[in-house]
Amino acid sequence: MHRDGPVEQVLLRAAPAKMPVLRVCFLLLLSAMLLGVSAMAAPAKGDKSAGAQAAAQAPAGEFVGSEICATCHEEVSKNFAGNPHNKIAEMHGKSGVTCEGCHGPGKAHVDGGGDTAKIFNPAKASAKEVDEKCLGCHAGQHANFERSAHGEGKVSCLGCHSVHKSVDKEQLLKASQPTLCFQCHADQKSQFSMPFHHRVNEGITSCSDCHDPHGTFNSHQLKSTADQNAICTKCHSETAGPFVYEHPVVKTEGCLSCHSPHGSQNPRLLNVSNVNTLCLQCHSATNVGAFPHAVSPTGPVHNQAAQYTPCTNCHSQIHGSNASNIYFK
Amino acid sequence: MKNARFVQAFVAFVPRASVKIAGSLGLAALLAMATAQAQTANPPKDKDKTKDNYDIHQTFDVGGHIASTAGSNAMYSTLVNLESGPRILNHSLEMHATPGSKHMLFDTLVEGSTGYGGDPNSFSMLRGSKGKLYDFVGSFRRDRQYFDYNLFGNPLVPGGATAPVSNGYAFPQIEDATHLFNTVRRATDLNLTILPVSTWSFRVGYTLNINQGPTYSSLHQGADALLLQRWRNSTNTYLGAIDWKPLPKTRLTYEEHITQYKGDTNWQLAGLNMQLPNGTPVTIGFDNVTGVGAVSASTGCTGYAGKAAVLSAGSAPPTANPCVNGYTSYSRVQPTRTLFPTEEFRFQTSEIKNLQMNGRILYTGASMKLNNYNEGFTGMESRVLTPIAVQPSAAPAPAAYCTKAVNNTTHQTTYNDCHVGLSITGNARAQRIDVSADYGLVWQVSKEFAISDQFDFQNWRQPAIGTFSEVDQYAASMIAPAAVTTAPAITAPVNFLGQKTNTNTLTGEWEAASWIQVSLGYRYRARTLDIARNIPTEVVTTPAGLNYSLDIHENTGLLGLVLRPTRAWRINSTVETGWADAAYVQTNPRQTQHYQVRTTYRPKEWATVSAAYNDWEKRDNVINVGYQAHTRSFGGSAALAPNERYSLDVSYGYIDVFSKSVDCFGETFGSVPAGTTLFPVGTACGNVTSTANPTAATVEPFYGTSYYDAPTQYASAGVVLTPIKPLQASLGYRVNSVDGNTQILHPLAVPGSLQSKYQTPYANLGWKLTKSWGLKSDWNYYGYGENGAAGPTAPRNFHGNLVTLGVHYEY
Repeated sequence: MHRDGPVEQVLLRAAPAKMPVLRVCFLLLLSAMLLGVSAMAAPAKGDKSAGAQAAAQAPAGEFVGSEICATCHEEVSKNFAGNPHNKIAEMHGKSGVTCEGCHGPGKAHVDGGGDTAKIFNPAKASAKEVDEKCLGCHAGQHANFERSAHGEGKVSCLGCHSVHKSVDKEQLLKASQPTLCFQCHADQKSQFSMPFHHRVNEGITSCSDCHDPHGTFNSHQLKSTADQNAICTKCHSETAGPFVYEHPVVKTEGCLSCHSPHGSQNPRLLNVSNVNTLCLQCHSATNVGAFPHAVSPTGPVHNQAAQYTPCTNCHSQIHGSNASNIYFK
Repeated sequence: MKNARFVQAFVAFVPRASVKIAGSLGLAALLAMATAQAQTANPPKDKDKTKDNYDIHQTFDVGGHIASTAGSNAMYSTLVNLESGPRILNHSLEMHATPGSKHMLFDTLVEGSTGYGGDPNSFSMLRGSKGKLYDFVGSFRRDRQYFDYNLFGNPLVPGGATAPVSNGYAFPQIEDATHLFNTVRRATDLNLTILPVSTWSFRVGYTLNINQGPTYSSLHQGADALLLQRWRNSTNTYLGAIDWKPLPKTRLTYEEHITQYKGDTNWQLAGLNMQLPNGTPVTIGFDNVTGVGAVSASTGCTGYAGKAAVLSAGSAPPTANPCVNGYTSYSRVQPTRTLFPTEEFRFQTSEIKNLQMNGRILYTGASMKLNNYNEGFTGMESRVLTPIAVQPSAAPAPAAYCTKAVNNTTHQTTYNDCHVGLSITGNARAQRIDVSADYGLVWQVSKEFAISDQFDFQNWRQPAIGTFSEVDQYAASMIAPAAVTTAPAITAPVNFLGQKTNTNTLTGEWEAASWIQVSLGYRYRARTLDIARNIPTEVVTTPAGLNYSLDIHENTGLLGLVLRPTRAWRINSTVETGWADAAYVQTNPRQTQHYQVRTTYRPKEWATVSAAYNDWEKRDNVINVGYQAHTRSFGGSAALAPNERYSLDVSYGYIDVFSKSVDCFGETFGSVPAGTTLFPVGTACGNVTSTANPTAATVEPFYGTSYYDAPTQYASAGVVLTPIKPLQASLGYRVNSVDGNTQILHPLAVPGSLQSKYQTPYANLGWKLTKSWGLKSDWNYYGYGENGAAGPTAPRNFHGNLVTLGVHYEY
């Protein structure tokens, strides 16, 4: 699948990869895996299902089955048919782990005449307890959650999801995007209402197209493409390169150097309204000593008074080019 | 003129229905009402919802839009682009297996579609699953993007302007964006998970992303030519993955991603609007006020040297001087193929008590191939910089023109004739090799204290090489036979760009009480950039040269505070303050502070009040750089729905996007904008060096301030009313207003977008006639207005009314 041609060989000499760090990284991962493997030896290998994990923590006799739950919680039980969690019941031949998979064994609760103190109620639990309960099954999909801004901020799974009263029946969201996100990120709402914006309010893109609310290894919970390029290049694929002539800042500093992805008063979501001013912010030789490497070209070569011509009229392939070192074509 | 071309070119892409459709819609609505009334006598029974052991629910919304606009249609199309015509507004289908029933294909099937029939955005979703056998999610999104914003990319040639030597030819006003786009993006995402809750599960996915349509671009080859850019890029992405859960709290994943990019965009001249004396069609470019002012002539340009750029304005089409910069033909094709294969291995485990950890490692070896680059140009490229004032009597001897010309590719400086032809063929290769590894853990040390750490490593490098063969022709004029045809000149640029990043983030969390948590962290990041360029024609102008390595070390302190005074009230705040010992570019800050506070108060199930403050400060206070930037935003909203009869939603937002740094630029001394300072004598900005005794006509280098400030206010209010059960109405208003300003480099640069207001009130009414039938009506108003003069171009203000009528049917 990977075809390393002569290009690679030539250029690795120009800037050899620094392998020691890579080895350290591998060692770290290896250590982590060893830790994990050693831990794996401890628990008995039984049913790997999500519901069974909860069930395994309590004696079988403590469970009553979802049919018993339905006798009092009829409405909840009835609406649960289309719930994705119902697949757990399907998996176990409707053996009744559905309700108690999340709420814990219900015998004491039933015997106590519905004593709410004797069953786990997520609505009254702390964020940590709720997260622990949900991640008991979903940690595999949301492995970064606890280190994410939402996890560290104790937003809790129930901050966005509602198992029994969801608007989005598949993701069990309390409200659909972006309304749900704007409930906390009220400062972002105005950006998506600017004249130029990604069409999130219109429903053609969503917050989760670029961000993973459950956390990623990147900052701002941003997703990335598989080749670890900016997530922007998933749709704006013509900017991904690699190019013979890269505009280096696009790759090293990212798209946000020039664009405001949520919304902008300026066309093309640019950070400033005048293209030439945007370019001059970097391409000005005002202090070559501070930037001996990056100010090439060191300034505009054209008379700004002669004609108001945006830089991009000539440098039209500004994200990178295969045929022009000055991004003309 | 260009508008007319676009009407022809885009007619296939922008279907515009006539107002007659409104009548049809009304008729359809009446018929539907009549049908609905007829249905009232026989409402569908619940049992009708069940068929073949599936509970089925399906909805249809059909109708259409009636749009009316006034003002700038280009701007309306850029921002809104909703037109009149019939539409399939919505469709949805839900099928759920009845309890106890068994089915071969699926237990659940959900489908939804919206926006078909001509809307710029349409969307379809299909989801299906069968017990523990499979989950399927698919979506299709279509997004038409029309872009004709005449402030951006517009040379702003004033209508009717005549250059000093244009023989009275009046240049047309350019009212369209130079880089006009009318593209459609079609994105298909398909994901299938087999055995989703089993020990072994398998995932396959496919994504198709096509972006295509007619667009404009431009090329500078002496004159600026308007190019028709036939845009077509696509990616096919395939995913294959295996998840293995060897233990209840452990998951190992292997994924193979293969992305195939196809770049098939090609370019040709958008039109030839003039002729040469021999009748050959020609264009002298669109940015031609100064271009034609600078009459260029080669040594042998007998008969036309020093004459007007437009020899005759009266001929049809006008006749151009064959010795000025121009194009008689141009085309470029460069089909590009890139393959991005990526292997990814992930693990996650929480088997060890109080310890959760996960990690991944990825390898990408992408390969770009451009096998056949082909570019051809005929015309005139003198590249002589001659001030307007030196026309025509003060013009230097014609022989001086093209002998001074420097061809950027060949550095040819010896021919007395001008560059009139070019043919480039070649190929190129580039790679993107990326190795990434990430590892994170959270250790719950005690009930109150937790430590988390995340280490990220990324090393990507992009070697590239090209081989291009160029043949140039030189002649006295565009109508003279080539005097010189060069032997093929081979260039083989070899370039490299790479970056290695190591980042570690260590955080400690202390839950002091059930209502308060404090976290403290530290992030260290080390970056190494490697750049190597071997371009035969590139001139080394920076002290660091073209090949260099740059190390940047960043240190960031992290502070977090989570307060939960009551169960209904949550406050989250974070502070990040960072410092770097170097910066790659001026707008890459060395000092950053990021403050965030978010609070949500939910006193009742039906009431939510939230507010957020977000301030991101960036600084690079190096002398003669002085980069300062911030994005400060504040927002608040309240959503109240006390009962089923009414709900209210109000919000307000303020955001100030600000940046400034010292910049420099060359400008005619007599046209100096305010706030600029002349460079010291003998110092240079770009290729302009300050002189001792500048005159009004000389170009001098100046210090300026790239000031930009766009404080924007946003407000919205909406109410939903359900006075009686079959009737639902909503009414709302949204406004976005900016009052900012920016650096003015030239009087023709219009800061229009920074003094504007965009209002979008709306109202809708839904009437449920029966259990199955209903009517819907929707009104949206779009009003965009700029304060002050728009500048030498068409105004961008517009307002539009969009009425949508629809019939709803469900069972």
